Amino acid sequence: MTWRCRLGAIAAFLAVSGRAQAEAISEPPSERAREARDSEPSETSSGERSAADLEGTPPGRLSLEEPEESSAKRDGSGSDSEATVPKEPRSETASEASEPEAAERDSEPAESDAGRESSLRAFFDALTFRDSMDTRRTPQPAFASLSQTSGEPLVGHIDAALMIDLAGLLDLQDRMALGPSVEYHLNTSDAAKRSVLEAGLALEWLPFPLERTYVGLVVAGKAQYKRDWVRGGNGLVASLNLMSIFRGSPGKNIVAVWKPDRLTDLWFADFQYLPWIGAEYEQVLTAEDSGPTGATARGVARVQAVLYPAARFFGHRFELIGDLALRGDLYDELDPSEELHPLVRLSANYYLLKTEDEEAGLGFDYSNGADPEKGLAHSEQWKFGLKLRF
Amino acid sequence: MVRERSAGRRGEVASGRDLEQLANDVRAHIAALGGLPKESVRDSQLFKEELGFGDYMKAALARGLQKIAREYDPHAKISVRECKRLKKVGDAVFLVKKAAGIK
Repeated sequence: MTWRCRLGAIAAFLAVSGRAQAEAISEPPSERAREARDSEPSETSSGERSAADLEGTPPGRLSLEEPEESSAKRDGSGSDSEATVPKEPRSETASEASEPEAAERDSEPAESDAGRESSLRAFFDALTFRDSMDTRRTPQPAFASLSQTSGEPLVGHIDAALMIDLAGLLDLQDRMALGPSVEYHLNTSDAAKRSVLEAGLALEWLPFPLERTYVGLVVAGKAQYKRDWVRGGNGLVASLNLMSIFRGSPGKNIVAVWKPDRLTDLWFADFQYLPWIGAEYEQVLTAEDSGPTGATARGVARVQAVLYPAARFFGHRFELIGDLALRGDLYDELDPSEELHPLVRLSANYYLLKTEDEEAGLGFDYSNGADPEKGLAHSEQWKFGLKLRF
Repeated sequence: MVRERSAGRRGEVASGRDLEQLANDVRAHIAALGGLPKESVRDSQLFKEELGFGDYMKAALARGLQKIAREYDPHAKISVRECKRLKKVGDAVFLVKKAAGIK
């Protein structure tokens, strides 16, 4: 996709910029710059401004200059490492125009381009795209597939969700991700026909500072409007789920295998599991064909286990996932006949591309059970298709 | 304290001691959450593959990393989303430097 290519180009550009910046941090000020300042006539610092001065330089670009304080220390017995650079007025420092500064002024347009690209990157950084905003499991890539068997109609399958994180606007970005989300789930097979759109708010919150409390908590919730084109009708869904995490497990040591969200080295594979408990609420506002309307509240227990076989060889590109969810009706006006809703999902994925940000690969999924939260009646499904996450 | 002198001066060059102190603070924070000796945490180590940090463990780093960054810039922001994307310990050090506006 064109915009993906652009994003890739921007990321590459920023990576190069980041490396250059890191080098600038580690390198001491160039001897050339020192010589340029030392050889400057004294009258240039008395207020005369060069043409280059008048063009102005962004304050941040002054950072490559050395302060008089540190220069004095270097000339005497002082230590550079002690000094933090005080910012000098532009009228004085720019008149001591050394070559690196001139080069920086020439690169101003490129810098403004980089600023725009940085903003664009910040926007894309705030986006999450995956199969579902269900945060109770290891994020899985969005899924799309088309399949056909002889004599059968074409079957389409889509699981995709998009979220924008706006927690930064409330200055809560260090403890939660919060923002609007939209997700769509389509399955055109007769066995498990589904076409559901959900839009609303999604939340992921770590309320306690784990560095001070031995036990931490992860809260995952959402409140969404739901439109179901197969069953017909509109409604509201909300859920709140909790998982504990623990501080201080020594690396991948097997003694910490019981601790959630830790990878444990089982020699033949890396293992991780996520146990959640929580509650779901669904309110059907309108239903087609005089279907039932009303509210349902369910308790949920869910465990997801991930195994990365031969992790040293595949580097976590190959994963096996088992996901068991058990929902029990606490209050049900819609379908009182069924009180328990078990759901088992098994996946095997191999990623051709896998970074922290992006995944692309092929996956095989099997599911058996009901997911009333997603409008999925009891069914058994096999899927194989392309998986994408970024 | 060096950090007190440099706090709030976004975009300036930090001294070698500033940078070393920041990197040490970040490594100490990661070691505390990961149950590791401080000296054993190196910039080249992978969060997931070597230290065993899952996504939520990485997300839990955000609060402490932002606190470190705010010693240099009181307006520094580090999000749980950014922390979930960290791959190496060195990425966390770079993230804090970037958030603190240290060049």
